[in-house]
Amino acid sequence: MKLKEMVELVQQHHSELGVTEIVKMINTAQEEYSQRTRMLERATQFDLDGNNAQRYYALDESILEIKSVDMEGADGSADHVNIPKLVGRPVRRDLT
Amino acid sequence: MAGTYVDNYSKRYATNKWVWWTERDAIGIAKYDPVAEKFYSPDADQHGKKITLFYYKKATQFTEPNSNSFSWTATSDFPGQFHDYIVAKAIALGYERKPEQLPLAQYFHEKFEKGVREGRNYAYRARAGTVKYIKPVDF
Repeated sequence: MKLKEMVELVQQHHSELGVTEIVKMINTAQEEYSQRTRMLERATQFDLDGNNAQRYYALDESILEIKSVDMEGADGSADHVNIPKLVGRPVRRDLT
Repeated sequence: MAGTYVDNYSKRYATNKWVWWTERDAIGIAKYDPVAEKFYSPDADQHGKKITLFYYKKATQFTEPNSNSFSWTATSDFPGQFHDYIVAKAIALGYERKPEQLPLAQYFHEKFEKGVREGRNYAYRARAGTVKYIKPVDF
């Protein structure tokens, strides 16, 4: 269904509402639907910055929840292998 | 590779463990040394190594008409069979503004809730099909 059809369906019930307002309501609905169903899954990659000993990497706003993480060479091979999630946080903080 | 060692007892190649966690809207990646009980950040040996994140994402928002990228033909990220439920939620939000029509808002909210249940099932099955129970028969 295209956006135009979605807006027209809403307008059948709320003819007094403008398109901008309806698009905002559709966006609100979509956000709640994605949060509650966890239906949309994606993968993304970035490079480690070892030269600056960077420990933290900002997460994109579109990421709801990380399912799993693979790291290239984590086991000493050239493969991309799954690394475990730490329970809690390191005792000694490092903000780099 | 820094942090790797040969376990002399088992004669097996082993490594300290790389781990991840989230904090302050960021992902932390470090190597945990269980002997020293310390975490080490990536160093020059790991520079440029790929990290792959598998994640659940938010739906891409439709741009509003006052934006240059607005398009009437844009489509939702969700599979087509769930678009009706998105529309139902938007209709419900409209009816919520009219106190005399709250029952209608309730109706469309319930339709949306049905969509959430169906959506969760769809996500759980991950398009691999349902598990079918085959009843054993005693001949």
